[in-house]
Amino acid sequence: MKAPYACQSPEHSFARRQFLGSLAGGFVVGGLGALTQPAAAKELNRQQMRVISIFMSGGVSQLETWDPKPKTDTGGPFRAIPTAVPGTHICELLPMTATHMDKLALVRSINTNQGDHGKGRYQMEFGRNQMPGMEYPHLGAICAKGLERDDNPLPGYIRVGGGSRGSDAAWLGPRYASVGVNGKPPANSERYKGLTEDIDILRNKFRQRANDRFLQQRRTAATDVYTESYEQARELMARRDVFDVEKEPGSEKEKYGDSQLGKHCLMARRLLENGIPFVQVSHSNYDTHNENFNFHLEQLGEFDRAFSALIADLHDRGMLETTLVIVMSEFGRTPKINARYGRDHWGKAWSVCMGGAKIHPGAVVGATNANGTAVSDREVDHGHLFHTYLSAVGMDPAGSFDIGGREMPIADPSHSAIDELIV
Amino acid sequence: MHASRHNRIVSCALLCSLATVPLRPTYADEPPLHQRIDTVFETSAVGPLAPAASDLTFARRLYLDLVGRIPSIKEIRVFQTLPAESRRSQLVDQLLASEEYPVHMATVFDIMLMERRGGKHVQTAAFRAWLKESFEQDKPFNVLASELIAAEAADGKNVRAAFILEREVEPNLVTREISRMFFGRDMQCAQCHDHPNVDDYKQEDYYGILAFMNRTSLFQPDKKKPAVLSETADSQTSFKSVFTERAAFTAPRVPGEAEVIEPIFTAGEEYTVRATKTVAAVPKYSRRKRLSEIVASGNNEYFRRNIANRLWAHVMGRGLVHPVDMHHSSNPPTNPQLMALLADGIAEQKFSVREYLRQLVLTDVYRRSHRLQEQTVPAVEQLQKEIARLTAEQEQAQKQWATQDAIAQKALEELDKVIATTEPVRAAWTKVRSAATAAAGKHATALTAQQAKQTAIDQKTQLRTKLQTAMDNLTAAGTDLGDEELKKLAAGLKPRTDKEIAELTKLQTELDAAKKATAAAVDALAKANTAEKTERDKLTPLQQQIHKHRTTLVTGLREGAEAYERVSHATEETTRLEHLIRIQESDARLPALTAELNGVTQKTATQQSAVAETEKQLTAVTAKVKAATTDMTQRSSAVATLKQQLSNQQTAATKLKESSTGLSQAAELLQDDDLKKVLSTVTAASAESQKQVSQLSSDLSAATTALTKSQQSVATLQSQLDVAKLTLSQQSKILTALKIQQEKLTSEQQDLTGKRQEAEESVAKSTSNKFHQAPLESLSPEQLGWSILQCSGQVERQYAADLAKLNKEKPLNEKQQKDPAAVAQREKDARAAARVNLEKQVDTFVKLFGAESGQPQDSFFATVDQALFFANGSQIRGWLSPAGENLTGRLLKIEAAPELASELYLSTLVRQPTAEEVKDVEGYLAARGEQKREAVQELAWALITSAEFRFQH
Repeated sequence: MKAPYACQSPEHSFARRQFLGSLAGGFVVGGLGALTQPAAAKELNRQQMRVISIFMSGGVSQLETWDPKPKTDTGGPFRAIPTAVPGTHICELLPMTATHMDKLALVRSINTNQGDHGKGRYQMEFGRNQMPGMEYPHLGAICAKGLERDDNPLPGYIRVGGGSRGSDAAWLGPRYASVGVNGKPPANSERYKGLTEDIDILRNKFRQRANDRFLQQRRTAATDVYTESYEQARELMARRDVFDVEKEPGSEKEKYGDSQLGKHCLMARRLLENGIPFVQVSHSNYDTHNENFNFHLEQLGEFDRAFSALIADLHDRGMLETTLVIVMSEFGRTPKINARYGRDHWGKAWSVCMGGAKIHPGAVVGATNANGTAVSDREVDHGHLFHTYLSAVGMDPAGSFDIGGREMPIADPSHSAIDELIV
Repeated sequence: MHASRHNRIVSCALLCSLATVPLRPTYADEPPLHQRIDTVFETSAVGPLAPAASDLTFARRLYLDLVGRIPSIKEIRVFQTLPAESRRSQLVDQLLASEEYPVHMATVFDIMLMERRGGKHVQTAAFRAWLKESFEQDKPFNVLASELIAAEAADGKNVRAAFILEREVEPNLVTREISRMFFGRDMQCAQCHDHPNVDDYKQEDYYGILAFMNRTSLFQPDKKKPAVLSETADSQTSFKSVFTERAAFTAPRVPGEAEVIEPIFTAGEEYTVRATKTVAAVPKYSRRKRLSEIVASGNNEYFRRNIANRLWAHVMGRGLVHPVDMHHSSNPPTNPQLMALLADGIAEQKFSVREYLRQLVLTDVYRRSHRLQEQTVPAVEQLQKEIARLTAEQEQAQKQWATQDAIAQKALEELDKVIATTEPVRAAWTKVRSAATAAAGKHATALTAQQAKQTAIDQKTQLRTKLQTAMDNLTAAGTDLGDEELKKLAAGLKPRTDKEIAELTKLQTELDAAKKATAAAVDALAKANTAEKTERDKLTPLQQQIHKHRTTLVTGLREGAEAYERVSHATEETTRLEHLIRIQESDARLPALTAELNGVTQKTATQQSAVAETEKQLTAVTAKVKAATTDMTQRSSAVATLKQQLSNQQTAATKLKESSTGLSQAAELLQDDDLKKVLSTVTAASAESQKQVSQLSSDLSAATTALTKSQQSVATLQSQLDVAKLTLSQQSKILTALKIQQEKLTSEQQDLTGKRQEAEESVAKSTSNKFHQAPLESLSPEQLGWSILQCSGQVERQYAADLAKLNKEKPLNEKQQKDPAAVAQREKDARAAARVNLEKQVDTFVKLFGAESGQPQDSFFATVDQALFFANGSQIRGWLSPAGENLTGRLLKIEAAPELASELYLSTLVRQPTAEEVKDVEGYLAARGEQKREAVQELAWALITSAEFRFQH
């Protein structure tokens, strides 16, 4: 009997992959990611689903954005304006976004019952309550794994802003952890001076021949992933411009606005276009215990311009159907206006905006009461939202990942998606 | 197959797992553990087996496993000069005794136990230093583990507490980790309910461990000073399943064992040190210490299996149970007999990591190659016999499991009944116990107050006495000297003394009151304790019942799990053997099938061409029929035309004849010459017409004959056509049948090939999981880093630099230079300094190649940033720049390509290059021509980044 991996024929390797896939059964993505791609994942690959999450750090006010309550005791000074969806009104601080509401959806009935920044952020990004001794992967890591593509050497989960690799993949492993980019190409992605491309090819060919001789004796999933990483590195070197936001024309920069958020959103679009499954952008700081209205007026101006430019761009480029856009925060802000014209932390009745991918355009789910102090219809929490995001990009949030023999549920099994939001 | 042996070992496993069986005695006449491992392995291994790997591969493995790096070329050359029969065991001894061994083990155990946590309360370097010291002393693992749990340190430092402190003393996290690291059971899910997928992991077990730990908390009143652990003397552990709502409570208990029986101290006497705002509490009976003692005994079967398996995984690349923290009966060891032997074996080695590792690396299993060669697989009949044996065993084990499960179920019902009865009694006791604890607290406070008063009185009394003496002396001196001033002075002190006396009296009154309060507190405490004792006496018998039922439950579950492990293993093994059979059957069937398919394919082809031939004929005949029919039609119309012409001609001829007759009679009568002329013309015309008629008649007759002939020809051709059509239809039927057969055979062939493939994959996996061939596992970040530093020559360069620095800073004097001990010490110091400097480089590898902190560190991943680091990073480039005697420096000096290739391959891949590889190197050097300096760097780079370097094989 021969060593099973001794046969180098393409048929053999094809059959092997198929076999591993069929072994996984259902939607269980294999432990080694790129190696074991079951049919479900292949299907996703074809659709090239992607996610961009804009995190409104500090806790954006739902009353000054998605769920205005003008002329009530809690409403504050701003008006509600009509949008592209008849009957749906949002705050006047988002005039440009209002014209795109026919492409977006709102959930206005979130009760996460959490007023702590860290815990609230954890809920929203990890889809569960934080528990001691338990670690789960970030939404981005789950998407990086679930939407992973064989043909893309670029990292699966990118944080725009910052530099290093994050610790947010838990049991999915560092392959799916976030990579911070700051508008420049990644470290070591430039061939060093003194090594020409020809010579680089020559030495890599020698390496490949050495590998072929060794792997002829025995190949495993891990050896495949290892040798493949060098090919991916070479592809990334060829595509390092993807990360260079300076390559965008001036007119694009103008469209997104001359703010950090504008630059980051433009960078994000560039990354999404290049097939990155998950991009995270942050906008800070909405923690407006003082002067809530002045701060929102200023901050949301930047946001409105950058966000509407992004939605328009994704739409014009035909990418919105395959790109889930989420605008989230760790929580909302109190309906009650405090003595310093501020609003405080509030997780009991707030909103999230999302759109694209399989999200029903123009939908509004749930409602709060007249002055926004409580959810009055279709109460949901972070667990439901998390399931919804994953469903919107074609993953099965009730499925599991097979991590080295352990079956790990993709999302909190006690929750499910907001079905009416999914097309 | 080897039923007797199997049974012996299984029954031994059963025995040893009974909770408090002492260490199995060792017999002088038993062969060493490594030989017994090989015996068990050989007798239980069915299926293809890889041959022994080469000595150099062995050396590479050994260096990586025991000292964490590949050997240097110097070490390889020394190894090769050793006598072949003893060189392996010599190397084992040498490396286990080396200075690098405890350093490497410290790294391995730090990563294993801490999973790259550390640095918040205890620096990783300090923890590793403590581990290193432990491995230098060959501290048994049970002792080491118990020290980590007890977290007590004579030196007052908190290094041992790292395991608990770096998990923030979070009771649930610490519970999970103790269970994972020391008992091999990841019971995280059992925190809220019995594990949904793993039958063996019960909420009961989880809270048993939690009960040992939930009295311990982090104590750090001053953030500038190190944190310590504080432990209370009271707490109860209750739990409720979020699934079934079953509510229960438990005394501390380790997995597989009964509840511990604990001393209960009367309230007020339970602490050695009572907690204050600045002092951590120390109870007289510490549950954490109790757990550490249980661990230290080394008697728990799960504890033994866990460490035996983890160390096996360390040297063999994979656990017999994998993942190493998922020991349960549905995830049986790939070789249960071997697992049982190893669990005994490590206890027999008194948990000495060094001795146990020595035994493992001396086995034949450790030497086995990572690749199979052409192998004979046992005959189908033999495999079927083995399957039959396994099936019988499975059935028997299934019955045993069912029996034990029933026992456990019954015990659980009984237990829950008693728990329900106990609950109010326990609540009542809890109430009086907390009252007693409160009374004890009050007593302690009263006593402290009384003591404070007493101290104040003592001080005051002392002061007053001194004052009185001073006054007396002053008065006496005044009297003696007759000094009025002095007398006045003395008298002046009187009010002060009186004040002191008054205060003293007041204090005395207060002391009396305090004494009364204390006495009252003593009374209250005594009363409370009596009340507590009364309730406790009611509770105690119930607790004994709980203890009894829980013991029955746990024993039933444990023995049930042991039986079920045999069921699971038999099932897995059966599948493997069935796959081996399937491969053979496929191999037997496939050639015949292929031949049959080839035959049918050929027949189909023949039939296909016959059909084509017939179709061709058919086309030809059809064309002929068409031509003939056209001919017939034409002839038929020709006949019709002639008939018409004839008829016309005949009419004309008759008319002319009549006309001629008439004219002739008239001419005769009239004798008219003109008429005669006309007559002659008419007569001629008539004659001509007659001639025409006769011509047409003969033409018609000929045409009619031709038509008849043509009609006959059409009929003939038509019948030919019918024949051809019939032939075609028959031939087509045969062809269709043949095609169906061909399709059937093809699909059968595909199906068989697919199933064979599947079987082969499964066998390949199990072959490696069962260690019939060595698993291919990646190097840890540290192994990778140190190996690259070693082979590139960076280790030696750093050493030389640090030696030079030391010699410059603190030069050895002449006498010292001649003293070998002093020189050796200097070299040792330089090595240590070099190691510290190089650790920083290794950290880069840890950051890039290590998993996240707090996550299992044993799964492989490869990312683009790693490859980019290798491809373009400045560090690797620097290490590969030729300098002196480093790798590329040496390569540069070698003229001949074969020697250069040999030096390169030995240094990086720890083996000689093959002829093909020498040629490849030669070709590369030739292609790079004059640029040899660059060429050797590129070659070294290519091998360091090759899969062969990256993996342990």
